[in-house]
Amino acid sequence: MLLIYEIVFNGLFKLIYSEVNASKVDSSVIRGSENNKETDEVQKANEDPNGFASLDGSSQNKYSDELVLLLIEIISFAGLAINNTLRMHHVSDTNSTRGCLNKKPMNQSISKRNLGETEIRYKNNFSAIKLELEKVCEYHGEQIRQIKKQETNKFSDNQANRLNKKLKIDELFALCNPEFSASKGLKSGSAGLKITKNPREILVAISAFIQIHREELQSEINHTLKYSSLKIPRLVTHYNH
Amino acid sequence: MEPLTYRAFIRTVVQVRKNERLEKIPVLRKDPKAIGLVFEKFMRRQINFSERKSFLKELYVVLGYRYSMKIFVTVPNYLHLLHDLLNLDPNGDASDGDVRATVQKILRKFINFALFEDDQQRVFDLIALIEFSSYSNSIPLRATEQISKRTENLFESDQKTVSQNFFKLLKPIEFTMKEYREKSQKKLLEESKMNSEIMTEKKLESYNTKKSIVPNICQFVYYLEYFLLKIGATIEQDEVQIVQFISNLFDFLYETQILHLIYPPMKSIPSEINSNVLMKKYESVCHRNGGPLISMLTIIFTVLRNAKIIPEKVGLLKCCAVLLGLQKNDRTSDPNVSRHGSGMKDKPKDGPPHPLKELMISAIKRYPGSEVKKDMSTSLVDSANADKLPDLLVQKVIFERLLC
Repeated sequence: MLLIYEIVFNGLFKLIYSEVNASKVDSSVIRGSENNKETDEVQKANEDPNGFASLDGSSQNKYSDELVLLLIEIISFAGLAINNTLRMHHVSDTNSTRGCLNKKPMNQSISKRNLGETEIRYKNNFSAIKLELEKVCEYHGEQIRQIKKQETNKFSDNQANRLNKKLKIDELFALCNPEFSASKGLKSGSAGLKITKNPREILVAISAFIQIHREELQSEINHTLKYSSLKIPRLVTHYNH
Repeated sequence: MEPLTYRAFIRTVVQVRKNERLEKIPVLRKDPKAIGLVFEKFMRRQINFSERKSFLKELYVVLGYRYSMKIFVTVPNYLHLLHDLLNLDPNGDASDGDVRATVQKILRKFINFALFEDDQQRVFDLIALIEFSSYSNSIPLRATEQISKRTENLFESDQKTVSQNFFKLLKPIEFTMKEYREKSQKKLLEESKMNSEIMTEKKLESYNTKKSIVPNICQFVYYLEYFLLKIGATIEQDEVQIVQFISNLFDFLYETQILHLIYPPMKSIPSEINSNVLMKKYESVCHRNGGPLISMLTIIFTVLRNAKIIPEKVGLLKCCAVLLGLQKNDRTSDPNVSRHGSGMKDKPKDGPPHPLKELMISAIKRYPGSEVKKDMSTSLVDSANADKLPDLLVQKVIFERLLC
């Protein structure tokens, strides 16, 4: 059950991240050509409330708002459990040499290349499927070995200290759900965190927080959810490559 | 061909039979090879336009009977015929409104049979039809030589060619799903009037819980996931069509409660696996782990990542919230279908503690695992089912062509 919430949380964060990045590119493009008269005219036209561009911009904002709202709902509902998974795997991830988990995408890329070729081979040779399954098993086995290795050291003193380390995701979760901050002992105003109960303010605060800390959040979420908890092979995507 | 010769020709494949009410109905003869020969004549344009038009009408009438449809799908080149009908020349046969309308009706009959009526996982034939163009381009044969040439001219890349049948079939599939929903509701209303009973959720469930629809619809959802991941960034080119289709599919899955099925179960596999063990024991677990629920989530996120149209994307986000039980699905047409767990946002205090869990339990009750599991976890690497793999559908098409 938690896995479903994790998948949605991960997917939503990626979408918000790309939205934030896209808006950053847009504003930098406008800023870069500030002296240009034509750009000024375009900007003026954008400011016109009846203009097409402004309409498009507002609908874009609506989409971003909806993304954040859904994120808030999920965090309100399953935030603690997601945070525990993230925190657990983040500790494992940072404590390890990073070599093992970083190896996986490389293996995956090799696998992707081979799988492209196998699409043709499937058509001619049924045993190719077995070959591909062996690759899946090898990949899965390597994943499991690394995770087991990390789990044996999980309760060491060093990691126990790291479990208490403040992460950006904690702050994000606290912004989304004020109850979460109480359970995690986060104080309002700490680390630049201003927890509010006004829905509009929450939305603005979360968007701004993600915009400022997007890189840290991405590394905390992507590394942990992608390579740690979401390790179940699904062959339907495997055939895709 | 002379008119009389044409009539005689048709009689070799169509016969008149009496049904249970002793009405005379035209049905296909149980002679797939002879029927295949007629199809070949049609595809090679060896009969003139008025005869082709007449042939399509007759075909539509006979396919109205399940008996004929069962024979139709055994004809070796019936997929070639459907592919040909999907790609009629817009300046030739397809310029006639009647022909276009009849073709749409034939396609709907076939889709309805493949998704809702046949319990032999006929959905793979529908998938084969979607994937058909790529094969006809790669290996041009007599029967489809002209189609291949026409296709090559229309589409530059192979990728685009693969998509062409998919987009042409979206509307008929949508129509068929809508028709199925309406029929099921109408039938229940009639029954409730006759029995002077209130329409209950239980009755709707019993109607929808047809053995055939679960595996067929689920396999179609898996295929859709595969297809959208395959076309990836090019989703943007046809985003309106795709998003609309996914929204309708979502409503259908929600209403039938197939959406919240998680067979094959979402469970971890043991740490030590090898290809032999995977093939024998765990393949069904790994393949499509999490069933239609996870597939639908993947589909929604794939489209959200690649599409640009904002209002529709907001609609898809709502689907995501509905799937998790955080919101009600107010687009479903049937107000009588209540969902345990839905509407958490509207009534947070009265709502169940775990809406998603409630939705899943409700779905499992409707489609008991013991009945569905077998069909939902069909092994794809088992040689008997090898032709059911999307990548291996080519074998099926090639094989059928060799029979022609």
